[in-house]
Amino acid sequence: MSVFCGLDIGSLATKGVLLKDLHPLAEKIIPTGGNAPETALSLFQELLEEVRVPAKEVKAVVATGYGRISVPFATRTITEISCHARGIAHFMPQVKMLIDLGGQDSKAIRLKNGKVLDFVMNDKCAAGTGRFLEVMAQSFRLTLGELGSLSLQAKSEITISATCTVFAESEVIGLIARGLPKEEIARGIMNAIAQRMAGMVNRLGLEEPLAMSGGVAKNPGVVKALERELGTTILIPEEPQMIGAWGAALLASENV
Amino acid sequence: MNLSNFVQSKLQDGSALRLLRSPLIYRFLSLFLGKQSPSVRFSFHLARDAYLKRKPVAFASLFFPTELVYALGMIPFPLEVIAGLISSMGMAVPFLKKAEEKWYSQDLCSFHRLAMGLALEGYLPQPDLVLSLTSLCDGSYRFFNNIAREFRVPHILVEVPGNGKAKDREFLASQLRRARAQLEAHLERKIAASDWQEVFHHSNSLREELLKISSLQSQVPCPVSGEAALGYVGLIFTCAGSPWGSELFASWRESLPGGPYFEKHRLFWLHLRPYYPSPIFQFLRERGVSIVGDELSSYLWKELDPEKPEESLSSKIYSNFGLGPIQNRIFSILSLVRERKAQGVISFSHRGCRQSTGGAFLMKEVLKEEGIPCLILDGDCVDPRELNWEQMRTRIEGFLEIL
Repeated sequence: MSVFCGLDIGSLATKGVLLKDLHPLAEKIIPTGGNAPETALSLFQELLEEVRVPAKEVKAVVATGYGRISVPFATRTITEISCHARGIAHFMPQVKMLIDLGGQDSKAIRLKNGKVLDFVMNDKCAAGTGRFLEVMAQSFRLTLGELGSLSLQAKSEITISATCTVFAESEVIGLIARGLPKEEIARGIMNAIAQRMAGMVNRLGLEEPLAMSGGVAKNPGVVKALERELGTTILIPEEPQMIGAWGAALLASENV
Repeated sequence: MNLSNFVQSKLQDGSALRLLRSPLIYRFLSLFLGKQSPSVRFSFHLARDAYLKRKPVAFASLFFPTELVYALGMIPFPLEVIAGLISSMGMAVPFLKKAEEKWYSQDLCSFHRLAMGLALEGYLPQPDLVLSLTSLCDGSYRFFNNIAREFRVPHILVEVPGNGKAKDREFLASQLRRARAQLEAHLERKIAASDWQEVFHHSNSLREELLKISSLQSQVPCPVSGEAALGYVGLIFTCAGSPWGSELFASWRESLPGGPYFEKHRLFWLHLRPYYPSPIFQFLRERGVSIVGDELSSYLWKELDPEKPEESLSSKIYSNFGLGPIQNRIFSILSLVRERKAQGVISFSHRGCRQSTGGAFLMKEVLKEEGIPCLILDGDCVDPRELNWEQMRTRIEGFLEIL
């Protein structure tokens, strides 16, 4: 039996996929926590236990994500850029451009047949990432999903002028304190993240079909804001957060 | 005894300020000089002559033609190169902070900020004057103007206009003649024909050495370390016109290891590199990346003619393809990329450097049309606080995966 594993160790969540002949045996997400190597090992073991496969049956493990270098049992490390490209090509082969919005970074990737042609990513700043959204949701005392849904109720919007996450948080707290409509503030937050991301997409030159992966793709508020900003429809795979791990597992199977 | 380590330890314990101006320390260090590399010996002589004021000292901007300085028996003290050197010793941050405390914004080029920090802390020798060009670096002449005011010495500025057409070249030659006259008056010394002959002979010998290195860089696999070549860039602009130039580069060329070389990818580098200790080049080496050239050490000038000194220097300045319209830079780099058989380009976008970062996008577009991937790597050459290695690592790794 040829089993392959892909592990995507992100800043907030670690995702794992076990594949056999391109069919998923198991998929799982756990919080990364403070010890990425331990989390990766524990997720790997959980995946194997779930399907009762001994570790020796796994032909290759590809680690990706920011914690990829902390996985001593990985056969190979590949960047999340290549893994997300490979992963999305598996589910949506027609996609020419991918937005990967993760916990602490964001990327725009131009691709062809699952291969990366070019990419841009954020630099040194968490504005425009999942972390930005988390901080904003905390200001509202809402979950990420609730914040997204709230933004969809807005008829108009309030502009969030600060780019920096910390300054934007104080701006949002100030707007809430002034009693301004929360849904309009929420939409302003979604627009702020969308504008930043759209800037990256436009640097590469928008190509369609455009898809989105990463945990933030589950937030309808951000997706709608991005669609408005880019003037196009964004395709969302069924499990956007798992795309990197899927890509890693596929690349593991292709490189043996 | 390792001279570099000695200097570093003295900078760290704060005694360097006193030692830099002590004749005894130079006498002591000279006992160990014989076994050192030419670049260390050159640095020693430069520091000794400047701090002990054995000769008149000119703070010269990076692209100023040092042949004019050497012809007058002066020492060109290269502030940007010194900033890179201090950064390579891991000592940049206190001096950068000193400049920032005096309102030098973090948006300004860190080479200049660091050099200003050194000036404010009293680490620089007293110059006799300051020389700068308006070419390439847009912040340079303003920085050198401030430096001249700080040290209360004259600032001679040479304007480099337009595109390098015949009229521009004539104008620049006239500017250089004016600068020469000002320098001669200030130093009360005339440049003789024999001075030009000697200085141009050294500059032309350096050029010959650079041509030899350039041809080695086209070999597959490339025997020249791109990291070292980027480290030597400052010396090209400091040694031109001195006997050290050809000696230093010949010695480096002769010391190149004979191989075998592990070469998986060949990349061309744009702008300068980070000089502070960082894992970047080890990371590239481990992945079989050869840096087969960089733009600043790849521009070569025509042989200088001592019969027409200012015209020759004007032509040398204009041979830098970074001058004039962006097309000059783009197409020269494209031709170098082909000549060196590079598969990709890394454009290091030094924060605060307008002329380099400004053209990066256009450069990337043209390279893309030619099927040559280009990674724009944002960072800083001197300020280690600007390095976010994990982000940079992912970018470089992702780029290598594209190749």
